[in-house]
Amino acid sequence: MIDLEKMLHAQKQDSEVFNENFTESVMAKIRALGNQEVKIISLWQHRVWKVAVACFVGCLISLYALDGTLSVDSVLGLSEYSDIEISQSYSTYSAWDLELN
Amino acid sequence: MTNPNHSDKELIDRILNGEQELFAHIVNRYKDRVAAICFKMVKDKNTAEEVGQETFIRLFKSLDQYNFNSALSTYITRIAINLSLNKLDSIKRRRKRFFEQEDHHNAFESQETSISKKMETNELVQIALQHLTPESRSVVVLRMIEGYSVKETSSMLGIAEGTVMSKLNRAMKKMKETLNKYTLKDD
Repeated sequence: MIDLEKMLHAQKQDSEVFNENFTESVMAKIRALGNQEVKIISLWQHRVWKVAVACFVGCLISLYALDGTLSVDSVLGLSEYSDIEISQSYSTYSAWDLELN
Repeated sequence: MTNPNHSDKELIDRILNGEQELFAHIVNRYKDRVAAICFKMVKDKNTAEEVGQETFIRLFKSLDQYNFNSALSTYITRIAINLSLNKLDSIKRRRKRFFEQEDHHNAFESQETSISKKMETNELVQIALQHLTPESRSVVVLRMIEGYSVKETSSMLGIAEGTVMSKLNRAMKKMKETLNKYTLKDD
């Protein structure tokens, strides 16, 4: 007659173990994991800086080159006339004024 | 230097505060328990070791979510069992995909002939365990070998206590049949 329960209980005492480098292997993987995460974060930080610089340059262009005439409305096409066109019209009028005077 | 007798909570707090190297104490403390589960669930030495390493890496990643409601050993056992079941599932799917089911049968048959001569009790139990489905095996490993209560087993596997009991009864019956078959061969 097989005493399966007894056989199974005996299995607990007779367990196999991992090789002796097991802990070191796990720790090496965890260290690598930490380095990988730092790399990803620094990569993203680098990208965020690039995006911030690009936005800043965009603002400067809008303010100085386009004389502050580029607005969200014109970019999204919400205004009937483009702000740039309006700005050009003003430039034309002021040129005419100069000629007349 | 750290005293390895520090409590789990103390170690975890310090690991979460940046002393990552202290995690080695947790690994040393629980690796034999994880090995016992992985070897019984997966059997293949390399795969069991792979699952064991993944268990500790998962634990490390989820340390900040561990809320000390259950013992750390229970939490680790749950991770080990789930990863073993996932691994067995992926092995099964890979076998199906490459039509290697015949090889699997052949492996079992050759195993049967080689063990029909003289067999240790331990090997017999191992083979009977491998004849169970992964889910039933996990119930037997946790309840009968590791000695967890029905309630603990049900919470670790995320199934009802009644299901644990019925799976256990069916698994024990099937194991007895397998063992009878092999012991009769021995005689």
